[in-house]
Amino acid sequence: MKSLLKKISSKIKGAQKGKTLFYPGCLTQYKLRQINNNYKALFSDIGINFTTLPELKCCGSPLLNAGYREDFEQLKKHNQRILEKNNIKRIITNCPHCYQVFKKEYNIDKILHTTQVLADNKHKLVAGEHKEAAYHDPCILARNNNMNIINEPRIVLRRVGFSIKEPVQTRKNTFCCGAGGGLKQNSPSTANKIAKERLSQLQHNQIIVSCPYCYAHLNENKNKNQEIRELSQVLTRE
Amino acid sequence: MKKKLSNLFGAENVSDKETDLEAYTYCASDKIQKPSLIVWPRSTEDVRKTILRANQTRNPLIIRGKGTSKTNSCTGEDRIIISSERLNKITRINLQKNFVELEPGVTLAELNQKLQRINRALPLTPLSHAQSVGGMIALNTPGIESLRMGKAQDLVEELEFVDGTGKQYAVKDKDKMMPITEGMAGFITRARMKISEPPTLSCDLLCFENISDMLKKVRALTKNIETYFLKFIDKKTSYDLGFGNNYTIIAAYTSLIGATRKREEVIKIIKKARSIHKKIRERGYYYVLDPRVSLEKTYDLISWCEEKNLRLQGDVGTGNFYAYIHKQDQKLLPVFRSFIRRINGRLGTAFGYGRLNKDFVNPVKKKKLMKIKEEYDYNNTLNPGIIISYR
Amino acid sequence: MTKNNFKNEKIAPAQDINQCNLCGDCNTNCPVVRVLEKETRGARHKAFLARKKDYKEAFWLCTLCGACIQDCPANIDIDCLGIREELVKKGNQTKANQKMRDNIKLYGNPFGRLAGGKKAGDKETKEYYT
Repeated sequence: MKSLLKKISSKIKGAQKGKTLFYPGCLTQYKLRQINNNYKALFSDIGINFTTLPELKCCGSPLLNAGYREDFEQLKKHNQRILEKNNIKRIITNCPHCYQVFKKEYNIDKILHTTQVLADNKHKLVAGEHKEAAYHDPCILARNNNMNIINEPRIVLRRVGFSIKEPVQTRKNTFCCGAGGGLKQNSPSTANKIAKERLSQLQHNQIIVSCPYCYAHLNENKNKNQEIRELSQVLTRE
Repeated sequence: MKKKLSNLFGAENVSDKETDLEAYTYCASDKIQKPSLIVWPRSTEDVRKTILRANQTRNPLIIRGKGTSKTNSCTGEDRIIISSERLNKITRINLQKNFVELEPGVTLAELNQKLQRINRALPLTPLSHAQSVGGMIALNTPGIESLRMGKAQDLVEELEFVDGTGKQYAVKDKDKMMPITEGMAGFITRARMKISEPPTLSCDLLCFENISDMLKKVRALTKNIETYFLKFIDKKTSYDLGFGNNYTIIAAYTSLIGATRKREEVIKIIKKARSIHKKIRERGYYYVLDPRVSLEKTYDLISWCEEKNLRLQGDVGTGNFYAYIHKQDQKLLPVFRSFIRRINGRLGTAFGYGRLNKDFVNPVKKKKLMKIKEEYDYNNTLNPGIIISYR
Repeated sequence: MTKNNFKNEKIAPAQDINQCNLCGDCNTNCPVVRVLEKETRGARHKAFLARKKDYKEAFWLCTLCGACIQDCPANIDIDCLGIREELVKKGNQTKANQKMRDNIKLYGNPFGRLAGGKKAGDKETKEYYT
């Protein structure tokens, strides 16, 4: 009897608490499917309940970056209607651009980046053998005036056995990969030059990133002997 | 014009496009002047060719590093600018003999980043880390630790430059370096500078209610050979930093005679010392000047600035101060200049004499510079009108 | 006389663009200046244009990384995002941005018709929008 009451009360609490959404972001959803699947598998392994809503459209970050404020507001209305209808109270996303837009522009209670969730659950991750890599801080997560998610990815990486070789420009003083702000499509030559500069600064053959744009952009510009890996790729057994 | 002939070293290194010219109309002083051409040499040979060509066509050149000069020396109306931005390689670092060889376009920030990795640093911390090393040497910029370590040229072991006639030199004595003073008669192409391990310091945070007590203590501390730097902060800025409403001196020593000895706490205090500029600029103090006064006249400087609502900070051991005037008080600029002259002070020690502070140059020095200009840059090709009025 | 308390430290809010005196600290870590090795369209050039409200193409050449705001001693935000909104209002937009906007309007994502279920492998990341 007690257990039945517990079940009912937790269900009611659950309905009040709301659901958790995993929002992969357009780049991950349409172009980096392996990473999308990695995160979903990881969260199931750790025991995090989440839903996905394929009817949601783009978060709108490229529109804001290009100055289309009105188009963004329309898109936001569409997305917010769906989020309310599905009682979404928490959003987990792997893309820092989406993270920033949700936090600043949408009115959802809790927005989390995947590294934060993984760091909270680090005891459930499997510790592997000792290896070394460099970690590239994405601009949006690491700079002063933004989100301050600097320690979480390092906690996760250290837990699974990585020792991190920090480049000179790291943490708050990170150096941009070159893809953000629309530069990737508006001036690809400059964006590629910036990526090459950052890769030479990182000075390591194994580079780990936690932003899908950094991942795709640095991957395009890497040298033959460098390997760029997204955080979910080093956590999932391949 | 000259563009076609300078295609000797690559069309992307020479430009007269509108956007490029617009980006070089300004420097850190508030004067706007549009140049006619910008040249970015990539090697000593390029520099030589440019200077030779400038001599042949009687076109003077303005030398520019990172354009952080506050005395209107980095741009000129209808002039040709030769920029060291693409001479930006660090060619050699020697850890046993503790020196670094580099080209003049390397930014101080970049150099410090590379040296931090190997536990070395340039023992010179000027007000801004955005300037180029070439500019620092040409202006002989002082830093927070100049009391003990000297100014930029004291750290140069060897210097290579090209003079106004296109001739190359490699010199080691400070006297022989005079042609490159503010780019007057020489363009630096390579420098070898001393580096050292960052020293272990202990600190004292000294607060005073009146200026005379403070100056007494300063006099005693400057005589002590272990004093590394003495940073003065005026009343209002001390309050903003959390030190209370009094005159503050942050003193650092190379031994353990200071009250604060633990490494983390010393680092905290030194970070505070480095954030003074930011604290003052955040409050709307727009104009920055570099008065230099003797210890006897420091009392007058501090009280005058307090009275007129200027902010003041600086190295009281050497007398190199930085005065800040609020944006609304623009009319105080000429008043400040005449005040400095009245107390036998100088403007231009840290930011250079350039075009705005020529009247503060010592006449003996002026004579010396004229002679050097005559010898190394007879045609007045390099930086005409800067520091001296030649012809 | 030696005090070591840092209480009462006052923090000033971010300054507006008119407080910029073109000191050049913003250029130290700007990726555009570092890579193109010239002042043009770097952080300080944008601040110079923003001061006189001269909004031009230069403002599209920015990754919005925020290094300039971090390095500025006066805490000035050049606000490229706000300026881009002004540019769009005046009709100044890039071709690639227009394409991205059309894609989002028609298909709900910046790439286009992949939303329908067409498979895109990891190798096809040549064209995407930020």
